[in-house]
This record gives sequence, C-alpha cells and structure tokens, in this order.
Amino acid sequence: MNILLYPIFLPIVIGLIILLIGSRNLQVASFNRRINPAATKTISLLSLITALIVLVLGFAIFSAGELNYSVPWISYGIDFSLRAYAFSSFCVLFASFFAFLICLYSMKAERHSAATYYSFILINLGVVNGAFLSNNFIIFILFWELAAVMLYLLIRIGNGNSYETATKALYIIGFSDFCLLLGIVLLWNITGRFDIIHYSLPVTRYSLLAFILMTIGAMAKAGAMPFHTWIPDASKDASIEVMAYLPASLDKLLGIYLLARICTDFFTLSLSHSLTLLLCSFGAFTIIAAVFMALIQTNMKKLIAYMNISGAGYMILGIGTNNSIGIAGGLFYMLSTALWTSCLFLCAGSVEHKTGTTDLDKLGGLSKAMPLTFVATFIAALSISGVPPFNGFFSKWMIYQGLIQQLPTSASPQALPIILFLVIAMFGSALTLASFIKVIHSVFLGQSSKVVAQFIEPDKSGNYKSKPTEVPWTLWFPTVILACLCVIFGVFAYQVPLKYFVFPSLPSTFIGVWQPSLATLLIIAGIIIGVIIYFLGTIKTIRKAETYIYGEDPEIFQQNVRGTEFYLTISDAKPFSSIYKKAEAQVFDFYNWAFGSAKAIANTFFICIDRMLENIYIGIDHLTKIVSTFISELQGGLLQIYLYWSLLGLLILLLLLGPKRL
Amino acid sequence: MLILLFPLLPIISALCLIILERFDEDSGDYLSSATAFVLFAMAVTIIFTLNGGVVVYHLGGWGSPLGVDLVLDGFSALFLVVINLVGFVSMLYSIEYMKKFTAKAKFYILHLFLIAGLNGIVLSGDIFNFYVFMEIVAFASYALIAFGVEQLDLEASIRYQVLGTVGSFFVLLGIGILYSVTGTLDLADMSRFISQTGINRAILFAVPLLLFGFALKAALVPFHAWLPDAHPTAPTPVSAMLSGVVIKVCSIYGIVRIFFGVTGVSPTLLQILLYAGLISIFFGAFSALRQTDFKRLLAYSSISQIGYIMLGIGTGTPLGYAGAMFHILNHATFKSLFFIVAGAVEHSTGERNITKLGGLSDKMPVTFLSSLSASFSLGGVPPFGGFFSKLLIILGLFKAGYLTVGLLVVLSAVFTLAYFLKIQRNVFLRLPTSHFPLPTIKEVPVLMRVSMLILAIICLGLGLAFPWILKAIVEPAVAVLTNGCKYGSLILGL
Repeated sequence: MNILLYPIFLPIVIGLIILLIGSRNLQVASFNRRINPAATKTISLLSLITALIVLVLGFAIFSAGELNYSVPWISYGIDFSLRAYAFSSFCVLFASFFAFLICLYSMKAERHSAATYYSFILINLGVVNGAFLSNNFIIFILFWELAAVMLYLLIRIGNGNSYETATKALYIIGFSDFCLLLGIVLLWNITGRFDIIHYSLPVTRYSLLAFILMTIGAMAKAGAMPFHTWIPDASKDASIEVMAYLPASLDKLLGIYLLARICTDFFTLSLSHSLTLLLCSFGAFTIIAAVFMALIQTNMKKLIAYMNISGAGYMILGIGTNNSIGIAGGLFYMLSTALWTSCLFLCAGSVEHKTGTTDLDKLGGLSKAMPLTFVATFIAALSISGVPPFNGFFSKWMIYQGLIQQLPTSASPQALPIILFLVIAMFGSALTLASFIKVIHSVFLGQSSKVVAQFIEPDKSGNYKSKPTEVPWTLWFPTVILACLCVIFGVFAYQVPLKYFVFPSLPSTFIGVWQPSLATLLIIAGIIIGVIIYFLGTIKTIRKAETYIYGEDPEIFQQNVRGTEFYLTISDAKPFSSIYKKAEAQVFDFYNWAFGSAKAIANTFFICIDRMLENIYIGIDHLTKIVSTFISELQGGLLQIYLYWSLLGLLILLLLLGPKRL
Repeated sequence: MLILLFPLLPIISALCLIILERFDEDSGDYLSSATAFVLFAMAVTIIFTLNGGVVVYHLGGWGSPLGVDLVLDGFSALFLVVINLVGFVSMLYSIEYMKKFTAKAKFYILHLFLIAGLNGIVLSGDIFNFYVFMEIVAFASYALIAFGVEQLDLEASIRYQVLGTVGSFFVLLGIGILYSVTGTLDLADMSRFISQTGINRAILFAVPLLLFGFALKAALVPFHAWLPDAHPTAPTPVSAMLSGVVIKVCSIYGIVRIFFGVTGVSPTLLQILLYAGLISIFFGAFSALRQTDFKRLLAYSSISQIGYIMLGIGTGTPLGYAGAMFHILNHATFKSLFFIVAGAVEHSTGERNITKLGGLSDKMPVTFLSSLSASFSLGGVPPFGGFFSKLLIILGLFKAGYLTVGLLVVLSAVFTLAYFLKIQRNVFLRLPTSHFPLPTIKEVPVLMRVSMLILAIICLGLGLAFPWILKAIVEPAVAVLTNGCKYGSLILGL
C-alpha cells in the first residue's frame, strides 16, 4: 500500500473498530449504562497511539516532498488519486497534530460514550486527511461531505440541547456543501476534467458562478459570516474538546485550504479587481462584526468562538488581497489561528474541569491555582491580539503588508476601500486585545470569586474541597505545547513556519524580510488602542465600584470588579445598546456599528443576512404548508378527481407529442 | 432454459402452495422464501455470466418473429437483480410479519405471482406478453393492497384498480395501434420495421397513449394520486415491493424498452420525462415534509425519487442514464429497507404516526441502524449508494446543458435531507411523548432483523463497491439505452 493511504484509512479503520467494540455505548440518549473504566482507558490509549502514528506518518509524508498516488476507480474521469505536496502535507501534519493533542487532552475526561467519541475523532481525522490529500474533485467532495456528517455526529456528543445545534450546523454546512458540489460540477463543465490541478481560469461570467459557489463552500467551512451562526451555538452545547478540535482547528484548516486553492490554483483573480474587493469586504466585515460580538460575551467559550470567527475574517482578508504576501499571510494566520484557538478552547476546558463553569462572572483569581493554564492562556491571548513577538504579530503584519501593496500609488478612489479594510483590521485587533484582557482579568486575576474559592481556598475548618493545584498533566500539557508553538512560530517566524510550511505551499515564490513600515505602525496602534479601551473601561467601572455607601447591602460590593463589566459602557452607549440587546437576545447575531441607530436597516440585515438560512427554512416551511394544503385538496380521495387529473395529463401528452414534427 | 425459470419457478411454487396449504397452513413460509432465494441467486449468477452480452430464448424452438421469445440483456439483468433481491428480502420478512394476518398462504401465493409477473415483464421479448405480465402484476398488487380487508385497504385498492385499469387500457390501445401499423408483436421485429419504414402518424399517436399508461403506473405527477393511498395501506412487505420495484418495472422498464428500443425517442419526449421528473421531485419532497404517517411519508418520497430516475433518463446523456440506472438499484434497496423499517416500528409499537413515536434508538438498535443506512442513502450522504447516483444524474444534467434544472436538483437534496432528519428525529432520537409505553417495547424477531440488515449492508455496499457495480450491472444497462433502436437488429441477429 502506498504511504498516502495510511493517514486516511488507518484512523478510519481503527475508529470503526473502536465503534464496533464499544457499540454498547452507541446510543445517544443512553443513561444508566455503567461505564467500564478499563475499557474506556484502553480505547483512549488506542486512539492516542493511532493519532501518534498518523502524526509520524504525516511527518514522513511532509518530509518526503511531493508524492502521487493514483488508481483508476470509476470511469468518466474519476480516479482515486491522491497527491501530497507542500501545502496539503503540511495541513495533514497539523491535522494529525491537533488530533493527537485532543486525544491526549481527552484522556482524563469521563464520558459515558467514550467509544463513540474517540471513534468519531479518529474517523474525522481520516476523512479530513483524505480531503487534504485528494487530487480529484469527486474524491475531494466525498471526503468533504463525510467531514460534514462527522461534524454533525461530533456536535451531537454534547449536552441535551446539542441536537438542535447539530441540526442547524448540518443544514448550514449541508447547504454550503451542495453549493460547493455545484461549483465543482460547473468547473468540470468548463474544464472537462475532475483532476485538481492548476487551472488558472480567468473569471468570466460563467466561471464567476463556479467561483462564488465554491467560495461559499469554503467560507462556510471556515466559519465566516454569514455562515457562522452555528459556531457560537455549538460552543455552548458541544463538548469543549470537540470545539477545540473541529471548528477551531480542522474546519479552519480545511476551509482556508480550499479557499487558498480556489484563489491561487483554480481561478485567476488578478483581472477582476471587484472580486478581490468583495472577498476582502466579507473578510473585513467578519472581523469587525465578530469581534464586537466577542466583546460583550460573558461566557469564555462563546467569546473564543466569536474570536475564532473573526480569525476567519483575517484569513479571508489576507487571501482576498490576491498578492503573494497577503496570501502567505492568510495561510500563516490560518496556522496561527488553529494553534491559539485550540489552545484557548482547551484552557477554557481546563478551567471548566476545575471549577465546573466558564461563565466569566463566576470566575476569578485562578492564576494562583492554575499557573500553567494561566500562562498558556496569556500567551495565546497575546498572540491572537497581535502582540510581538508572538505569531499573531507576524501573520497580521503580512496581511497588512499585503493590503498595503494593493494600495494604488496615486491618490484615487480605489484606495478608499483598502484604507477602510486596514482600519477595520487594526480596530479588530485592538478590540481583540481588549476582550482578552477582559478574559485574563476575570478568569485568572483579581480576587477569587465564590465559585472559585470553594475549589482553591480552604473552607472555615481548613479543609480543601479539592486540591488547589493545577489540572492533571494531560490537560495542561497540550495547552502548554500549543502556547510554546505560538511563541516559536512568532520568534522564529521566518526560520520555521514560513520557510517550511507557508512559502512552499504557494505557487509563486516570494522573498521578503520584515521591515518597519506602515504595517508595523498599524499593529502597534492597534495594541495601544486596545490598551486604551481596556483602561477606559476599567477606570469607569472602578469609579462605579468606589461609590460605596455604607449601610447598603454589602453583598453587591463583596465581589471585586468583574471583568465582564469593563465594556458595559460600550454596550450601554446609545447607538449600540439596542443592537447589543437584540444580539444578545439572539434576534441577530452580528453587529454593525455604522448603522447603529437605524433600526430598520438593522432589521433588514437581520432578516436578509444573518438569519437568512433560517428564514429560508421557515419560508420553505410556510411554502410547504401551502403546497401541501393544495395537495390535500387534490388528494381528497375522490376517484373522479384523480381521473380528471390523469386525463388532463393525457391531453397534455397528446398535445406535446402530437405529429407537428412529422 | 435458465431464463424461463424466472417467471416459471414462482408460478410452480405458487401452484404447489395452493395444494400444500390444505395440509399445512404454514407451509408457505419456507417454500416461498426458498423460491425467492433461488431466484435471487440465479439473478446474481446471471450478472456474473452475462458480461454485458444478450441471450435470447425461443420458447418451443420457434423462430423470432413467429414464436415467443424471452430476451435477456443488460437492462433486463439489472431489473432481475432488483426484483429478486427485494422479493427475497420481502419474503424473508413476511415469515414473521404476516403472523398477525389470517390466510398467510394466500398472501404467499399472490406474492409469488407478483414476482413471476415482474420477472416476466423484464424478460418478455414481445409486446403482448409484456402486457399480459403487466396485468398479472397489476392483479396481484390489487389483491395484495386489499389484503388487510379493512375499509381503508379496500378503498385504496379500488382507487388503484380504477386508475390502473385506465392506464392498462391505454397501454393496450397503444399496443393495438403499433400492431396494426407494423403487423408484428415481436419487439425486435417491430423495432426493425419502424427503423426501416420510419415513423408515421399512427405511431406518433400510440406514443402518448403508451406514455400515459406508463406514467400512471410510475405515479409521475399529475398521475400520482393513487400511490400515496395504495402503497401505505398494503402489508409492509408488499409496500416494499410496490414502492421499491413495481412502479419501476411497470413504467421505467416499459418506457426504456418500448420508446428507446422500438419507436425511438424524440427530444420532446425526453424533455417531458425531464420536466415531469423535476416536478415530481419537488412535489414528492414537499408533500413528504408534511406527512405524519410513516409509510405515507415514504410513499411520497417514492414519488420524489422516481422523479430523479425519470430526470436522469430525460437528460439523454450516458452519464444521466448511468445515474438513473444506478438510482433504480439504490432506490429499490433503500426504499424497501425504509418500508420494512417502518413495518418493524409498527410491529413493535403498533404506531405509524411519527409524531407519537420517539426514543426507539435505544430499544431497537438494529432497526435504528438500518434506518440510518437507508436515510444516508436516501439523503445522498457519501459513501452510500445514493450519493453516487445523484451525483451522476447531476453531472448528466450539466453535461446536457440543463444548468437551471441541475441547480434545482442540487437544491432538492436539502429537502430530502429535511425529511429524512425528520424521520430520524421523530422516530428514533428524541425522547418520546409521556404517554408512549417506551419500556415495554422490544426489538423485532430475528428474521425481520436479518432481512433489514441484509438491505442495510447492501445500501452501504452499493456505495463502497460503486466502481464494480457500475461495471458489472450499470454499464451494460446503459449500453441498452445508448444503443436505442439498434435493439431490433441486435436481437434478430442472434
């Protein structure tokens, strides 16, 4: 067997074996089933080893350079062909790496469906590797759709509400997958072949449709707006390891992998300025809207989910610039986002493991008890905000540089949108920093809250409810590794990630060195603004807290300053308050400050974009009702009416097939 | 000689059963299953031995235009596999399922006649025997639908009888016209005659009459009205046969054999099939979304899925044909499986209303897994068979230049997803309503489980072994469609 087959089929086969062995635990709503701890341990060890083997295989494939494998499969130009080259094999390497970390992380967790969980994790790994390596569109879409099914099944392993969320995710992803399929078929109609090769089609009217359809597929997988709505919901309902594994790492890799291939390999965008502009607008919009939503979240998981969405915006912005440095920046950002979002989700998981909650209002002062988790979160938060020397800084710098290169030399109206994107991206990172300072403050710093205190401080008799120590090593170790990678990929940006992973993936070579320029200035400005926002918020709330009136109920002042109150001033401000309220009430998920007070426009947006898919679904439901009422009129059980219809049909047939063509 | 056994063996068993029934009420159980199994084994053997060739059997040694022939080509072989697979599983399933009915032996006799008729249709080489076998199928199914002898069963059966007879009448009229023009009943001879003399007005008149008859049997919209009443009311094994096999054999086989092979297809005819298929897809899917009766929902879904097959044939491209042929195979397996799953649920709970069910995934794991397999194939989830057939149909549509239709077909997949999720959720996954006696429910008896598992594995296997299935079964059938009117000279040359 070819080495390329192993990373795909080994995890799938092992996963199926685990599923069959543990099929007693297969049921979704199975309560009262005793868990066999030895069996669970065996299963988790087996999957850990499998993931490790796949990781080693991934490394071997990565170091082997370009590999091809092809067997004739179905006729009609559909072969089972795989290809590993720099881009796909580095994606495989990282997918296996994340799977390994997640398996390690999950070892200590107790779950009543361990077999299902691990088998789905492994099968998903195999499927995603298949999508990366496939060199034929039909094989690709096959694995891609399987990944959607696995996503559905993995989200299902969650709390009681996960059914709704998983179904929502399946509808959105399913819809976008059908778009992708259609795009691929259109592409095939143009090129006449199914191989994934360097087509470089010019975007004409016909191929534009294929481009848009395929881009929808890629963007929905990456979680860009307006296809994002399932991610925040899933962060609430799905288990946290699944969130760290799927939407944060694999789907991001998969979606951006496809988007990058679309923009660099399949289509040539250089001639159509407006198309890159459109892509950039989607990216910029996603950045700012998601980050505003993140700012006001009070749940750590949901906040990270929104940051994750905003990350997708940066990548799309980078790829949308359509010059080599921007695309390289987008890919670097993809890698970085996968690292830090996984890290943050896993840290949130550790916090939840320790205290049983991720609600920012209930946490505080965990840094003493969980120093390693704190450091990991801190580094990841600094990376995501673009603070040097972490990887976020370099990847953002490259994206900014890519945008700046797009600027026309002379002052012209074309420069305007690009300047706007730059400002938005900068604001995005400022607000990211601001929201993560909030997280760090309310979770790890400050005084310990009631919930935290019962875990880490002795009660009156001097006994601990649980040991005031760090979480088990299987929990902190993956987060620390991820945080270390954030540092390494930042400090040695040119020596490691760019040299080995990003640049070889791109068709055109690009040589550039870091230089202090406008891009650097913008990032620094972003950091400063972020800090200013943080201080503004803090000063204001501190002042509020200082108005302490003796004699009032002391309960409300016992707690120290809550991090979640930092930005209440923002959400209380006149033009924002109504929108935030609506957004929080889930009337609409995204936030557009430019149209702040214009309620009507906001509502239009809400109907047209954000809830579009759900509204379509509701609309279809209404339509179905109307149609089925009509049908039941026909289906009255009256034989004569059935006969009339049939004979009417015969008349039509006679008319259509009449001898007029003789 | 072996070919003759396909229609003959079930008839012989049925006649034996009439006698045996007097001595032992249960004698039908194993006799009919064994017969169906032998037929299925023979059909599989034929696939391996035929290799895309054509076999003609002259009954009594009389030559082609005069005598009665049985013709077996790739297209007939595909149908033989479908008929006898579903027939066998349905027989196996009936052993336990029919225990609650009286007059079990009569059920088996009728069922065997149904299989005999279906096998006869796809093998007969002359148009009159084609009609005779079609009537055998029709009468067997009228009786089987009314088998429950409750008011609803009888009503549905009467409706089906009236509409079915109207359809048959027009088919007979069409056959009569063709006979009066060509002076022969042999399909091959007729095909050669028409390709030599060309089409005239009388033949042009016969085509819509035949098409009307076939469309009625296929339940294409607007000829569908009888199906949602007839299919759900029949005993479950028969529903599986009717939805999985009968509507295809009586219509698609006829359309392809007579229009493609004999009279030739005009572009208008292809377009009628295409658009009627498209309307059926949406009509069926919309209606299915609103149904609360499990089996009725499946019946509407059949209308929708037959639409895909018609659409694939209507593209007029080899890719579309391949998709349609493969979808015949897929639809037969997953829809029969779905019907017997519905039967199993009804057997265990006594309930067919899906709003009252729930939580069965724990209690009936085999049934649940089988329904998952069927749903995935129905919804077109890779690597199940349904994915590939729909993919090929969509590719065929694009190849033929029907971009909008292709777009709509892709969209229709979302509706299909919606109604199969609805089944999964309401029947198996959600917690049931409070007054539902969940703890008392047991999994169905072992033979029913076995028959479900057979089809569930085949549903998955059709997808996994897709390349081989394509080569062994689908491509010979596609060759028959692409050869078109060369049929006559091909058969007579043997």
